[in-house]
Amino acid sequence: MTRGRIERALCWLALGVVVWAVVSFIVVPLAAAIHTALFKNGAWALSETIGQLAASKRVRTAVWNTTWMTAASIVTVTIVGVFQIAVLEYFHVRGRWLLKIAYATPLIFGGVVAAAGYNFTYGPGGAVTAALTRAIPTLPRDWFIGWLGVLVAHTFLLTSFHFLFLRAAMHRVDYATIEAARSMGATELTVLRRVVLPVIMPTMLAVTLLTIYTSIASFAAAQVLGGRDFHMLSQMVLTLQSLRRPDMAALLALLMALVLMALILLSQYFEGKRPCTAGAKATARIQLRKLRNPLANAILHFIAYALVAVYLVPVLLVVLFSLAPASSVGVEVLPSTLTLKNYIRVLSTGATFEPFLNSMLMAVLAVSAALAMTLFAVPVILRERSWLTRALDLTFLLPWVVPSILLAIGLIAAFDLPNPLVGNAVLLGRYWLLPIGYAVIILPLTVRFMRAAFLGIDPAYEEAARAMGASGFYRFRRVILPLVAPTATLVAGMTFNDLMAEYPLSAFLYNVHNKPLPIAIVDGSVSADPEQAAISLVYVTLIMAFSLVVILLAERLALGRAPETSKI
Amino acid sequence: MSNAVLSIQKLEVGYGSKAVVRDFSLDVAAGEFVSLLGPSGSGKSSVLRAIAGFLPAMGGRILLEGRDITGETPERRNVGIVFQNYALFPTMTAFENIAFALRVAKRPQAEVDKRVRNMATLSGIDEQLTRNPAEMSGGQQQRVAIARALVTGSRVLLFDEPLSNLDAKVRVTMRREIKRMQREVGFTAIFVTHDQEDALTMSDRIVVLNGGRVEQIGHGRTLYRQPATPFICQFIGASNELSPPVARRLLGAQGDGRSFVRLEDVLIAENGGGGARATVSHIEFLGSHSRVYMIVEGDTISAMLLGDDLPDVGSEVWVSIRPGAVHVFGGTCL
Repeated sequence: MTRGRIERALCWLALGVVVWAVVSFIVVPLAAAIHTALFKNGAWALSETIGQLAASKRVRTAVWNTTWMTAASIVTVTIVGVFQIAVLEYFHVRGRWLLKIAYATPLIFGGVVAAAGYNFTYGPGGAVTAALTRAIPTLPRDWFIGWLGVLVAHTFLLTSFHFLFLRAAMHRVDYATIEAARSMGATELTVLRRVVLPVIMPTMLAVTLLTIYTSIASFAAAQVLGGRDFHMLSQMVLTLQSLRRPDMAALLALLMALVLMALILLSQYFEGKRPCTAGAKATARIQLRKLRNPLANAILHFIAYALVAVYLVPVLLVVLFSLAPASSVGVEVLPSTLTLKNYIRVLSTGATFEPFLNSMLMAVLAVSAALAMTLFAVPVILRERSWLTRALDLTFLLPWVVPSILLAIGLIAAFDLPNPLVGNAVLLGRYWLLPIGYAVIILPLTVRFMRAAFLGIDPAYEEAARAMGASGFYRFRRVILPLVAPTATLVAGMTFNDLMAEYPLSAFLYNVHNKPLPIAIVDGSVSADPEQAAISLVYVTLIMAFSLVVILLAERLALGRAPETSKI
Repeated sequence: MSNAVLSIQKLEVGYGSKAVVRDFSLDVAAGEFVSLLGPSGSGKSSVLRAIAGFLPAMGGRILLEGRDITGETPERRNVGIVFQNYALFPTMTAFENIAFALRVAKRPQAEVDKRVRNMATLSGIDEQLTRNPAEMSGGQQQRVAIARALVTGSRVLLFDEPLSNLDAKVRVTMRREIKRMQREVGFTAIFVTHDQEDALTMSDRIVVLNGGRVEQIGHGRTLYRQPATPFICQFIGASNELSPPVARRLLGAQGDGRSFVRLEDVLIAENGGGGARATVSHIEFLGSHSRVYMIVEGDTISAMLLGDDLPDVGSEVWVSIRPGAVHVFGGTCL
């Protein structure tokens, strides 16, 4: 057999493995979830299940809570987010670097990490609560728990979309157009309304839709901060699943998925409609405007710095208390002594290190699998345009539009009985289901970044290598792989980081064999045991530190992040 | 041409089912430097890519040293290529870039070392071998790209607009360098360019392409002095196309074809002496010479004048044409 034929045979074999993986772990689970939602014992049961969902008071309450929380979040997040962009990109505020750092914290302090962090700050065992109850003894220690905690968490954490995308949109405003408008006599307000706003409006809408998406799918925030009385939809799906009503859980998840998918498609539509810079070859950056009215300027500074405190206090307290003796958690406002005991305990004790080890191991497995699949499949998809590659391409992106909880329900439904696709094994309750789920949910991000990396390669490199006699594998190994390696490393870092704090899928799929870090963090943060809390603080700090390293690395490699959803 | 190292016969290339080059034939002798010159979209790069094997031929044949390579993959053609943006592998040093083809061929390390260093000396990049492409200037990258294409001993080298990314001064130096390397190594060069100065200064022959068809093949001087078509007249150098009234007035006879005259063949006199009266409309100073625009019979024609003895704008002058310098196409010769 010639070298070319061997290469082709191996290529077909690898393609077969990819198709099997995609069918087994994306297509079949989603079909299983839809089947579970619509059929019961083989018969159509949609109206019956809808009736049961509608009859449940808890479900109705969760729908209502999610609806009004989302509506409230849109208002509060927009106010805070737009204010941030105004002080960062439009008005001149002193100490802009500090504002930037503070407002960027949701990038490393989001999801389950932030939910736990807020609980350690404002929750019953939190430092701020300790300070407040000293001042107001009648204040109940759980004052923050319930809708208030969830709304506050949403308000300050969901601004990461504004920070990332609305700022980028502001950079697209050509200052020359503002100067042109002013020279034609436009007032400050007219400039904002007629010149600036139309440029950033599509992004503004896309960002708002992402806020709605994240708010509806909110899970960890409600789980940690919602307390016993405030439940949202994701939690309800988990409760129904654990109450052995997979049909109701699947239908609820499916209905949520339909709403969320519509939102994603809409946000893509608006993001795609971004106006360009009217063909200007060189655009001038906006020059920051100084408010002339001293009172207005003082108020602007006060609010900007109050927000800095809101963002930085929980992060600083989490880091500080992770270095404090467990006994001071929930008692002291600021730790009186600092120690590395908690870190030593987490890293040296089997039981406390286990969730860390589990998450790391599963994340490494999932990242490796997703990356290996992507490195093979993306070049093939880009090169060979056929119905198979097109279908693969679309399927890779499915886990991005389908919320994690529907995927989790699907994986459970598909693998709770012997499944021929995996050699008649039952995966539910075994180690492998969660890492498989992890690999599936990071696939879209991996594919999108690697696709951009492959597309960015000048075809002349490959042509040059071909002209010098290099075969397909040789070209890939010596020329292409080194070119995409920085992006692959970065994507590995980002997705590893996401998985270390992944909550929705973990909550559905973990078991005693693989209890992951996010579950341990939530357990620790709602536990009354200060030792548990101290350990959770260490977990949270370590995740934040790792996220920071990844983001700094990304900044160095100058890779912008495209709009995507994050789960809190 | 019997001693042709590269023979292209009735080549047809295109994208999808649409042919962009038709009926292209060319024989290139060993050691010859042939340029493919033409405007954007003329098909010159498509011909080059077909020779390299990146674009399949829709018809015709390509023979390299008598061997039919029309259906061969690029890997098996043994044709060196230098790309417009050099396509140096950014993750490898200059040494590794040059050594790439030798490593593909699994040559022993000692041989790789020797051949890479020889080639680096020839290209004048001995000092740059340990550097990455990003650490080198455009000219140095260009030299590495040429060394890389030559190292395997390819007798035919294809250049795809390799000078277009260089600034004017480096460009002139690189033209001389490429010619020097060609003299020393004796490779055959097919050089694609849209810049007539590149083509005129370097080539033994120039193939002018327009709209996927060959307009004329010949030495630069031939193309300039004996253009075969109106397109060559306008594309190589600068020409005035004389409108029929102006041609009548200046040449004293009426031709029914299209008449062209080079700028340097338009003569200006301040007083009489035949020709036609003209008004100087404006003058462009171009350093070594100036271009004088004049209105004759309502049409504009221009002349090239050396030195600083120029007419004033708005003044009246007498314009005439150097005898025998008019190129007429599609009609009776004047």
